[in-house]
Amino acid sequence: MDASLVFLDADFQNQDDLFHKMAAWLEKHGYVNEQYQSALRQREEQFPTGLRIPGHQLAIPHTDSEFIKKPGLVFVRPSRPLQFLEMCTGSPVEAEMIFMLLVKNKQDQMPLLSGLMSRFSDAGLMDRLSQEKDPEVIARLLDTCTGSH
Amino acid sequence: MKKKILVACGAGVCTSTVALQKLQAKLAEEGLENQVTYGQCSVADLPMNAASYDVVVTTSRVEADYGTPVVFGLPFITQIGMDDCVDEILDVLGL
Repeated sequence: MDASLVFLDADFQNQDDLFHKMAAWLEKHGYVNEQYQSALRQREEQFPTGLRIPGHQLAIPHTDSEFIKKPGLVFVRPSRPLQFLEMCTGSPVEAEMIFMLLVKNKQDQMPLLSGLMSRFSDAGLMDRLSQEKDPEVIARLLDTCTGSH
Repeated sequence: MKKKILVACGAGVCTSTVALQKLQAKLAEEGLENQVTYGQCSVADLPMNAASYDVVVTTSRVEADYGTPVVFGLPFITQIGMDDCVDEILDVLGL
């Protein structure tokens, strides 16, 4: 994956601010269309994507492929955790890592998504993703779990 | 008669596909692949589809009663408690 899609220690006030700034960046760089931001918000409100794994809290915000122009996986590690709600339960999650899934074509990208989700139980990998300071290394780590290399 | 499992998420695409793959793999491990069939849909389509299935597995929060038992499939995404979740599904199906 492209290390330019890795955002470390980024300063966001809250989930709203994250969605606003990230959607603007993604639109500017040709990954999403202009309806993406509102579609993403709506989806997150209706179907929250926060997750808890041992030692870490995450979120995997995503929306329909019609709003995606170029597929990708965006990794955001905000300077402080952002509140999401947990998938299924709706209980609060303080997300310290956010994986934004830009799914353009389900068939092509399912190995990536299921590969990523299969590694949420890999405590060593999740610890590294939560601490590593080099975006290139993060991009490579994510490649190993999504089978891109 | 084969038992019918319906897997659902927000759009019926992303997390439900991951959950479906994991569930299929688990039931194949148990040697049950010939005793079940699968369907997949969005939560919005559950009211229309749920009645023709024996169990609904969803990664989204649903509160409505579809007349079909619902099992929450979050463990297929986090990999935590996945075996218990599979047991719960098999219990519902009587397998």
